Amino acid sequence: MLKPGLLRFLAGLFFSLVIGWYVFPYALYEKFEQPIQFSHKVHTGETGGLSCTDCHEIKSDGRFSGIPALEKCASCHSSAIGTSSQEKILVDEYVSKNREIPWLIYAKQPQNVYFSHASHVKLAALECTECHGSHGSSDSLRPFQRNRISGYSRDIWGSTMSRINRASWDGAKMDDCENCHDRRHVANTCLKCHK
Amino acid sequence: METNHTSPRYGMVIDVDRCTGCGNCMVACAVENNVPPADPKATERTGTTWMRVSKLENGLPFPENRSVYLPVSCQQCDHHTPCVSVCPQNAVEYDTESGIVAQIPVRCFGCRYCVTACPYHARYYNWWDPVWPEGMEKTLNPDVSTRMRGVVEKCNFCHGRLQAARAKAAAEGRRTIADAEYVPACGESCPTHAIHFGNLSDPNSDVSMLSKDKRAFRLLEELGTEPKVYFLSEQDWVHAIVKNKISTELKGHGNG
Amino acid sequence: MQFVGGSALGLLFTPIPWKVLNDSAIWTQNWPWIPAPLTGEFTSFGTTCTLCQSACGMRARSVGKQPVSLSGIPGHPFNNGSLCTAGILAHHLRYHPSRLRQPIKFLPGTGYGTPLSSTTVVDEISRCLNGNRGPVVILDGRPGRTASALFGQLGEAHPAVRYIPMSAPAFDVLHTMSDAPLGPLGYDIDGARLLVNFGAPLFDAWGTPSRASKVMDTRASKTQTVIHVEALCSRSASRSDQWIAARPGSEALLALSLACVMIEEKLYSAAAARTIGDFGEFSDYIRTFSPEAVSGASGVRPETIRTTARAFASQSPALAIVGNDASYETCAAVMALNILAGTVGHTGGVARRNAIPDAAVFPSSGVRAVSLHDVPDHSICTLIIDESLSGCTLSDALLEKKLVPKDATIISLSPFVTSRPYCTQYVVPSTVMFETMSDVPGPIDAAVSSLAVSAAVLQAPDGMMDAVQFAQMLGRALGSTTASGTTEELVKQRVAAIHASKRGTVFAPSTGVSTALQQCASADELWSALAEGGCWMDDAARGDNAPAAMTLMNAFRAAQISLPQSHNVDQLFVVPFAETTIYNGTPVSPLLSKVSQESGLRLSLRQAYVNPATAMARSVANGETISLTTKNGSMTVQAKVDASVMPDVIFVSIAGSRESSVSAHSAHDVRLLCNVNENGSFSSTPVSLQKVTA
Repeated sequence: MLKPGLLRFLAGLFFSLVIGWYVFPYALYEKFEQPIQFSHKVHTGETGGLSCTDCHEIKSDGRFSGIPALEKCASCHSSAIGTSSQEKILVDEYVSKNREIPWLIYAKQPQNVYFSHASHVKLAALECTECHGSHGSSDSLRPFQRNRISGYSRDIWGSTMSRINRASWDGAKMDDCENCHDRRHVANTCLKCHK
Repeated sequence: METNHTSPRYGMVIDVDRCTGCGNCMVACAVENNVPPADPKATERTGTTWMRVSKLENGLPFPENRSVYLPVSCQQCDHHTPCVSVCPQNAVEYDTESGIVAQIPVRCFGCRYCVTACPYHARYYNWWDPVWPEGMEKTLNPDVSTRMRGVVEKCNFCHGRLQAARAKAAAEGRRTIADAEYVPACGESCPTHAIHFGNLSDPNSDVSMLSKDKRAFRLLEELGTEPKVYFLSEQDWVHAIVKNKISTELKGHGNG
Repeated sequence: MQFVGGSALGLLFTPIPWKVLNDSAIWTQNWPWIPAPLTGEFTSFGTTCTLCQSACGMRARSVGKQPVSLSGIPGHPFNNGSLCTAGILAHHLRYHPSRLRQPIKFLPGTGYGTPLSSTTVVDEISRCLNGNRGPVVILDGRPGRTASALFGQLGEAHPAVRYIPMSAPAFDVLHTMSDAPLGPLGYDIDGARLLVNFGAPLFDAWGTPSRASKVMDTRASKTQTVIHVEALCSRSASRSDQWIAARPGSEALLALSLACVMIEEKLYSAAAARTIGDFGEFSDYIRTFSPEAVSGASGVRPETIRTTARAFASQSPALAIVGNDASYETCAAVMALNILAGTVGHTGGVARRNAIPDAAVFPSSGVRAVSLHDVPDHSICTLIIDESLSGCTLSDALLEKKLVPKDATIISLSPFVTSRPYCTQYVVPSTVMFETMSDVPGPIDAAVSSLAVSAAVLQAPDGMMDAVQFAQMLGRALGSTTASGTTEELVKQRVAAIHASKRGTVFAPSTGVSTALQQCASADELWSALAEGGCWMDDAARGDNAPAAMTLMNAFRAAQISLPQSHNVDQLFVVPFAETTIYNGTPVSPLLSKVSQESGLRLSLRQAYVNPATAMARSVANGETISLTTKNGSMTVQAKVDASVMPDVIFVSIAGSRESSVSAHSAHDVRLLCNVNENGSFSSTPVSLQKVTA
């Protein structure tokens, strides 16, 4: 039989493991809904017929447009297409008021990080999915999770706390960038990625 | 795999005889690199000027007195880079792909060894948090991150502009950039075209040829740090004063 | 107990300690109160700088529409890729901490203003203008704009209103010397072989910012010589071919003694002399200023004066120029030199520009412009000033002299508080660059007329007016008609008129080249070239444009230049010192601290240059505080010991004196210590120096 002391010890152990692995991750991140829902699937599928680069383009000066500005949305959605509630918000709150949509950017890196889509896509020929996974075929936008301490998006750390057995797109910490650079024999000097 | 067998080494040649000491380079640098306006308590010793123009006088009384202006930024030492060797935190690094001495303020914990080690007084410690008048933070350059108090910062040849030039080249499928595509803010703003900038590794570049001119000199050359910033002057007294200043300063260090 | 132990051990196998450590470390790198740059689309656009009349083409890199940095447009005919220190910071002006947010009213004798609402201020201005109180004068610090045309219309439509365009002070004087209107003037520096420069900072942002570079380039080909006259070895003095160290305030005497040599040795242009109606009287007057007589007061050897005069006469075309802050006397004397050399209206001299061909849009009866100096003293009841432009060097002393004492009112349009405690003042807040459409006349150092445009890209704060709206508001208050329409519509009309004239060339930033306007298909095409930072330049005026008839002595009688009595050799003098004329007194950006407070490259407010010998004789060391006392008052300044300045003269900075205090008449302004002469200029004033011990 287990001694009561050992039992209490194991109970404590179990308690903190539960807290640490299940409660803590939940409490650490603050969840925010996107200002409106958006379906990549609809836009890229038969209905929309768009390709990724129709909205997310590398411009001639080498800068990446990132999330497109409202102008891009308004070029099709100048008036409501369909009757969904989200469509109504898009047109009434943003397009007609000419207000930029305050999207919450999952892949947002801190301001001291420099990243060039042009060199990764054009020169290194990486696929979008290498870092962004299947985001491009998602049907809805998941809540944005913001780290309460650092303020970073959860996507920087990745979906799991342990960071074990992750896909290439799950997490974008400095380690992840460095490891990929190492694998591809690309320099890992500070100024390569910092500004 | 990216190969870099001919990595550029960027350098600068400043024609002292053309410099009028207007200060354009200093303010253009501050705009480009998000350096804030002075704290009310800041002085000539505690202010932050990655590029600083100093007056150099011939030492004669009025009206024989003549002066030139010497714009001094980080001299981007190529060898024995003093700040790199003393940093306990790896916050300073010699960038092998550009020859630029990189300062990474987010890694810096503010011990200021590098400030003391730098023979050119080209490193600046942030004594205060950066403050911009209300609204002026909208004019910050997105290609450069802002820094906080308690860290050291310095000139990096407007590395954000190098990154932008590389990105533009990448968009066109190129891995190399021409000298004309990348000019730091100080060089761009100089109204008398006193500041030349380019790749010292390319023997045919403007800066390579000027650096071998007989008018060329470097600051504290005898320290052997091989700075990548050269100066040009036809005036003998400028060369003489630069040499003499070195010996006085070195003596000063020895006594101190 | 065991539970706690187990939890503690378990905790180590959870992410809590490690993740919290990681995230806290990240937090220390990203303090939330440190501002971050904007995110958004990175783009760029071209525009024209409006800080001064030089009309520099500039390219703004921007996030969305918000400019984040500015640089010159290469190939631009005026600035060829260069900007001045103030121009580089022009996008900060909008956010300047001392910007005026709402109308304000000052009563005489108080430094504190009462804020007014936008409607109240219009009502009060209207009452003030309709009260039949007496003459109203509109001063325009930058003639040639659309707003200037509207101010001119006010002057023509209303009998009580007089419009006074103020060009460069020297040109104002030259205008009064000519019997017939001279039209717009400019210096044809590119064409001059010899330049005698009376203190203009030629190598330090005088004229277009590319001027220094151009002059340096001519040096290599030895096509131009520059002689600089100044009391200190300034940036411009040390880079000129020759520097003549003249005592401060003796520039007018020196110029007259050059004229004296030209007359004595018959070196003047005979053709020019025939056009001077009072040449005989002028010659007699000028003979009193022989090099020997002037030498003592100016500190310049008679031989130097003679050699310079001979060079000026022989190296034709020769041009004499002055700085924008030069006194009336200096301007008169220096312009007389150009008249004697016969270079007014000639290549390489004072160029007479053709007027901008927009007469159809803004008809004017061509009434001869008057100078503020011609207005009787103490006669102006209401003064309207457009101070929405930086760098207007308006002498407060002169203004005070022209206004009716105690009872005058000033109505000014300004982005900043500019209080004048000697009268009632309304200040209407104005828009600044990037917030309003504006047209810019050409630089002082260009031989031909030109027009450039600066577009509104950012939303102006509520209640701010631009100069055109201000003129229209005044028009409504006076019951006069002014051109109606938005600023953009009016500027477009001017541009269309220029296009219709088919004159001149247009520089388009998109191609980087200038082409004949005749090749420009439509007014819209011209407009888009101008709106993206290009400019239109007129053809050079053809043939001999020398003025037909001149009368010089009126100006010299007003100038009252006299040889000073010999002074005590040990006497110290104080002079106000403006290191750069573009932004002195008017705020631009707090980032200018880089070149003053943070580096000492230029003088800050309450700093003064002192010669080492002068300092040593009074045991003053560099950086120590000294107290200066004249018969007008005293102030303390920090001494910057500098061997490039003349002994026994203290050069006190006037940089930022407006910026740093609510009142221009404050203890920070050295001009209050100085004697003011009849023409409102400050003369070098005897001073006593005391070292202040902490």
